[in-house]
Amino acid sequence: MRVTGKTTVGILFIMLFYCGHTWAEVSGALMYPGELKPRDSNLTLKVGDRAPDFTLPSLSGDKVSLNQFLGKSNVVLSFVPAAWTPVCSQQWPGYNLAKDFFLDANAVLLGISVDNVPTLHAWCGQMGNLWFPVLSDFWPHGAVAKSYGILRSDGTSERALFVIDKTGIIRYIDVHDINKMPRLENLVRELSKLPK
Amino acid sequence: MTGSVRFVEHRKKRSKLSAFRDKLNPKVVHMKTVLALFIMMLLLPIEGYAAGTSLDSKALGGMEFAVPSDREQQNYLGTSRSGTFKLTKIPAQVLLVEIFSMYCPYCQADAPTVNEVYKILQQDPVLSKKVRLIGIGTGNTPFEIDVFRKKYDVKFPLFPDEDSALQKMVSEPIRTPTFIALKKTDKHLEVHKIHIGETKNAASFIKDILEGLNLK
Repeated sequence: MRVTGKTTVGILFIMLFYCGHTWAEVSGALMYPGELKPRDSNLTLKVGDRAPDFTLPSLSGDKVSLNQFLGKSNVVLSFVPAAWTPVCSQQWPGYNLAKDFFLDANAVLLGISVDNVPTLHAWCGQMGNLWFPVLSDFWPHGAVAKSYGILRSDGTSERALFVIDKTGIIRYIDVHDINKMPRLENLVRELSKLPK
Repeated sequence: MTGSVRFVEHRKKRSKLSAFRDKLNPKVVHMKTVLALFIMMLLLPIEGYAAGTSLDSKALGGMEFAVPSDREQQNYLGTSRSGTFKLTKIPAQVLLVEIFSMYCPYCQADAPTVNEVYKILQQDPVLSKKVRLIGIGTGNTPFEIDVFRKKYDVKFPLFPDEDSALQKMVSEPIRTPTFIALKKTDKHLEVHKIHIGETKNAASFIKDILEGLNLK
């Protein structure tokens, strides 16, 4: 079997693009986008404010509202910027190990992302079983993130934690550097301050 | 019949002539060559990735960690009772280092098997004297390391690398878990083998990562 020089050049070009460019560079850039602007939004809420209510679809198919926990449980909202990104893909599995800290503080953890439900379904499946509800803030896009003042200009949200007590009052806010993992001990310390 | 023989001979001659022409013509390349090039190009990114994950063993050996508070672990690592120590000071022929993260779901899932690796190493009369296993939690704080240790009842020493010093030693992101077998030569540590990903099976993992070290 033989091919002409022109065909060979064509095949080699396609292969070179596939091997050198598509595989290594593009997937690398997607998975590891480099250092992002640490913060790209204007927080409008402060500790002591009432947490804005919301209702969002969860992966289980149910709708979850913040107000349904009023008078029953403390709530931690964990906003992550986007599915399939490096820090986000580890933050929530880390909370699997920290489950007892939440239970001890009578706190419900709600994970929120601006991705749509199918994307979150695929992503969470890859991360393993998460013990807490994961909510989609996809449409209207990032509306809840916006109401909390943490929607970034590119449509993702900040990496942020809001600790809300049983009366619906915000007790702790950590709008974290998007490139870094919020330290678990800081959250555990705030959880320990909550009335059960 | 004669005509048929002549035709076959004619085809053979044409074929030989064609092959000779192809040799002279630089524009004609055989498919085998193309396939060989394709395989070579496929291997290039893999080789690049492997190179990216190879650590500078000198820098790794120079990392300082706080001496564990547990007396058994101090004895296991041959450290003093307090202060800090360097990996090069551990009196073992082979140091097996797991780079993990408390947050990594693969490390969490693999934790029971890594515990099994430690158990096998400790129960083996030869390996228990020559091999030491430690874990370094990349980007993890002491608190986070402690959560991981308690959750999975990890018996071997785990150390935090809060500032991700390990990660800063390489250009590519370190995948977790990654296991590095370091061979002690004189006062230095030399990378013997790197295993990226879960151990999956403790016995096979030990056999594979220590292969070629002639420890027994």
